[in-house]
Amino acid sequence: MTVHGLLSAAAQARPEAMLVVDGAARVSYGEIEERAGRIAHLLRTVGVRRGDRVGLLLPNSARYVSAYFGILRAGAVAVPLHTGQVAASLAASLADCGATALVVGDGAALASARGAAPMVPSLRTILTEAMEGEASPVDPPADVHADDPAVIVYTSGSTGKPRGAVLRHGNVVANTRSIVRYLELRREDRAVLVLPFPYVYGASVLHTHVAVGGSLVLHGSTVFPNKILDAIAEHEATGFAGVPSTFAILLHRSDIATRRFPTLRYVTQAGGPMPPAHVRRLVEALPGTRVIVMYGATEASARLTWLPPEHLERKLGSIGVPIPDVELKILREDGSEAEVDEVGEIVASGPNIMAGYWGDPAATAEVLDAAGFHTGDLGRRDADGFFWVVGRKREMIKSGAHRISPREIEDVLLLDPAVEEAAVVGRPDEVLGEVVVAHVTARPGQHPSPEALKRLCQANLAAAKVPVAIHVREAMPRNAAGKVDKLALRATASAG
Amino acid sequence: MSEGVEARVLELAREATGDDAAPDPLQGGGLDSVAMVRLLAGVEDAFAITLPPSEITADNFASVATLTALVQRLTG
Repeated sequence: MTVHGLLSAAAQARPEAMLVVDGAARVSYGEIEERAGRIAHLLRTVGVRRGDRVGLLLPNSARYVSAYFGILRAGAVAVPLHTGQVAASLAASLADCGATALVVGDGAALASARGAAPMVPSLRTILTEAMEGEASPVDPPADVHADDPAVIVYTSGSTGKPRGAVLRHGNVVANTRSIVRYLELRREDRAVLVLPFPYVYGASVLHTHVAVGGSLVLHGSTVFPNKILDAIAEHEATGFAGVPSTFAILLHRSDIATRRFPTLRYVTQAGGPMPPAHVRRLVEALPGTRVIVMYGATEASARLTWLPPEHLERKLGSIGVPIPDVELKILREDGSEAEVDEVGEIVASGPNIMAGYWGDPAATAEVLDAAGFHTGDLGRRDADGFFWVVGRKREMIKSGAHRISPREIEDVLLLDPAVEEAAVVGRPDEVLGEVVVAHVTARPGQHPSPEALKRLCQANLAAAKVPVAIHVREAMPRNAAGKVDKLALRATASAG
Repeated sequence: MSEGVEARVLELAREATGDDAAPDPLQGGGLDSVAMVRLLAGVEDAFAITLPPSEITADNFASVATLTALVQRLTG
């Protein structure tokens, strides 16, 4: 099975069923399939061949969905790119994979595509919407198979060089089927989507709904949190997916706790650890809705674990258990398997693990070996088989003889009700190697006191883990993925 | 008084969006979710108010002028 085969199967079964709600437009499976055929035809006309890379620079929209499946249908490899990138970073990704064509939106996206084009020698064609109308819709799908690459996803790595994870059709389809199973998705399901499609989390919401013949309501952004709630209510959504900051915004800046959503069957959370206190508040705010904490990686097509909601209270803070068809191990530095509750690296294997990083065998060899995909996350498995992430391998602070996980300290800081977010980093120290420095932001109207936070840490943590400095900041620096930028924090910590 | 509030709101909007050039950084889609979080925190801190969720609307954040009006309503 191929990724575009999922769409064709659903379109054949129920062509009139709605796939995407995009503003006022409701676009059916049949229409998306037809538009995908047109785009595939157009791509072939301009010389795109099987295996060629085609960039996709569009905001979440019905056109994105058509273009994405059209690229795959042409046998090409889709390279989804974030809109709002500067031309140089766009060019770096396109040049890295040698993209020959780029499907683009209007306005700012088109301007940055034109700015990037001269820096991408391989790029021959920029396809705008106006060109699509004239193409023939009749175009048979290319002869591609499960082992062929489907997507290259550029990750928000903190180094300058772009790193594109190559996901095969078989990777994406296998992961999609696993997710469908544990979320128990059906064709009646309708998700409100705020996550961008170029992230594997956003893409997985698309893939899983297409696989069951369900529908997606595209919602622009989280700028006005109550609008998300309005969309869930108005469209009688059964599902909603968010990252920790999505839920932080909803919990602090919307009426989520006072409104009721009788149709909302589940919400999923992934994209980094969410503070247990926020998970608890989300559960309280949404009685009758399953709150599903998940864990994954771009290199794993999306998903690796889920925490079944019936275990949420007992295993709060855990990433749960491997999803169907995925195996997870905790490995020591020497590659041997760790004991129960012993901390090591989380290593995953299964049909969803990527082929490698595009054109970068050295980077690939660093994360992929016979044991599987090395996530770079440090974790442990408890006696019940539940996994717990304790930090990033590279994030671990080495202070004297201690290896300190920032997460543990951040969780203590978040016990203070005045604290909205906490981020802990190491600061170089002549004697100890590194010392612990904490950064926090305030909840609305609150003023956390560094002295009180220090006492809280002293009461809850070993002495080596108590931060030597606690800074109250107005906001956290963030990377392109919206995650707290710890490199930037570390830079300020070194300077201060 | 009103001019002082508006000048401060403009300053906060510039800080939040990182857009120092536009005459009004709230107009023309300069507000993304991260900028919004910063702006809300900045406004609440500067004017010692709490912005209720029901006031965090596109209308109130359409421009520096509309946001100034909101601040004045909540402080007045």
